[in-house]
Amino acid sequence: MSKLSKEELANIATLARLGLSEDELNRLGGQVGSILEFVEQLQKIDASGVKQTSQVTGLVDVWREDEVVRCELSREELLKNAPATEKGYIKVKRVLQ
Amino acid sequence: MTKYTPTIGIEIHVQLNTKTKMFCSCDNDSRTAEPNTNICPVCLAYPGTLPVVNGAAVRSAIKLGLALEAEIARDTKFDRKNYFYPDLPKGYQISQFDQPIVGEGYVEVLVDGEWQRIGVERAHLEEDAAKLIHPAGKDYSLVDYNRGGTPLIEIVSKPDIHSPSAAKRYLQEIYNIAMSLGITNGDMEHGNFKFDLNISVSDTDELGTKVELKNLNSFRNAERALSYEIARQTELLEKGEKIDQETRGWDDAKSKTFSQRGKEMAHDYRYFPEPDLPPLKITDEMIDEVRAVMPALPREVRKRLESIGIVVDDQDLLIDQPQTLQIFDDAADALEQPALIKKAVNWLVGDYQPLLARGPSKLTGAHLAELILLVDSGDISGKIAKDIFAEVVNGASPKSIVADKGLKQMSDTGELEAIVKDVLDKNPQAIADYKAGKAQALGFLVGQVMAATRGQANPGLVNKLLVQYLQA
Ligand SMILES: [Zn+2]
Repeated sequence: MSKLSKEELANIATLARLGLSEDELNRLGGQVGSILEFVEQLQKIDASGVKQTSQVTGLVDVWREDEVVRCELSREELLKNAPATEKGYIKVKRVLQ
Repeated sequence: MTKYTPTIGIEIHVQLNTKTKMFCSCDNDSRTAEPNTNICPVCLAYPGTLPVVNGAAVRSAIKLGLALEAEIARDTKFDRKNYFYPDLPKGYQISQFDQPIVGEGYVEVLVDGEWQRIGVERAHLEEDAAKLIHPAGKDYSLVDYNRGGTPLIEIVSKPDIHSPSAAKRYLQEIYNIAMSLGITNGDMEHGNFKFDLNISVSDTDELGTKVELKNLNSFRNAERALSYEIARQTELLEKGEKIDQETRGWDDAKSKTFSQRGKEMAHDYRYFPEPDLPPLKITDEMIDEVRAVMPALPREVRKRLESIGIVVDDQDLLIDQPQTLQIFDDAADALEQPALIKKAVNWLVGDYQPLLARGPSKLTGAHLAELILLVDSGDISGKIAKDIFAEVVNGASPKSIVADKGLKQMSDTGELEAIVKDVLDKNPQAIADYKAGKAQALGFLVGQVMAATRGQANPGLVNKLLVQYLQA
């Protein structure tokens, strides 16, 4: 596979909420394409005898009992990093409703 | 005219009533909480925090799976569904993609007098998003993350539904199952049970273009919205026009669906396995543990009610009201005889309903059985029973009301005979009328005796005694 088309790259950027300039779109197409090519080498490995997994930690069944533990941090502390708040709510740019 | 067949598929979101959220130990009950007071670094998606699965939510999903006669997955895992929206702090929702905890199952529903089997494709666990508020006239929205991370089960039906009434029945059945399992609070007005409806019509074997009706929370509106859509789509096709694949909403005030285009975005969720959560292995032991505490399911209750001759409408009412059903079960245990058990149903679907609508009830099965037995033994009349029923619903024992107010029916012949004689002595004209063939004179005399006993005489016995004297 060769380099990523400009449209493909623009779509990926939109999905990732990245605003790319025309210049960046032109420049990054080739770079992202070669990263993909590099990763594609893995396709050549014969993995037919290997069981599929989505985890490599070896852990299973990690869960907790259903008991409430109140957060030690106050609302003010928890919301401190929000750009804007109002009456205990986090304020965001208006979304359609 | 061509006959168009509708095909409907339904996705239901049930909010679970676990004590804590799906992946953190925050309180899951924010009904009376101030905004953003049941939140923590995990459900706010602070970097470096890790989710941990709530075991109770997993057990709720297994319960539901068993109730749907479904296969419970032995290997199940979570996946990330990626999209950006302010109600989703992580930029992805933890959901289940290709290994849902509940596999294929079904429910059986009664549609227009016929039993239909409706298939369930799958059910999976996920987390709810936060609540967004859009203040009028402002250029911003407000976010309350209390709801963010609430455990949800999404139940996906097969496209097995072919009428609005079948869709409504399916929704009600799933709701009743979830309620009888006790896995949700079931408050539909507050979003505990929401659904999306996919609907298409076609006059061939191939499915038509489907329209999605999103975010409904009323059975009645689901039925109305589907009927409207079927008519709208059929009309378009008959005119030779084509259906747009789109999302539509339901406008209750105007009783019509409307296009929600503009909000539409190509869905590309790029699911991938959640690396922060190890997979789950569901063992036989876990399933058996859940099975051991399964309550009676609607279909089992229905079978039992059917077997004692209770009609479908009354079955529906009892299944819709789990507390009323409990009262019925307790009363039925005490009453034993089928004829008396039917009386319990009559009370519960009749006089009880308006009282229940007025406020909380303290009626117990034991008290209802006591009331029915008092009438059956002739200790009180049916009329007295109706008169005191409101007090019984308020928690008073029928026996003590009857004793306190002296309401016991007079069935002692000796005592009654004296009163009957007295009434006859005072009403010679009525006796003459009766002997002259005026039958209503007897009614008048019965009334006089009833009045003299303040309604406590057994009317049948009064009648019998009067006739004896008059014909002597
Ligand atoms: Zn939390």
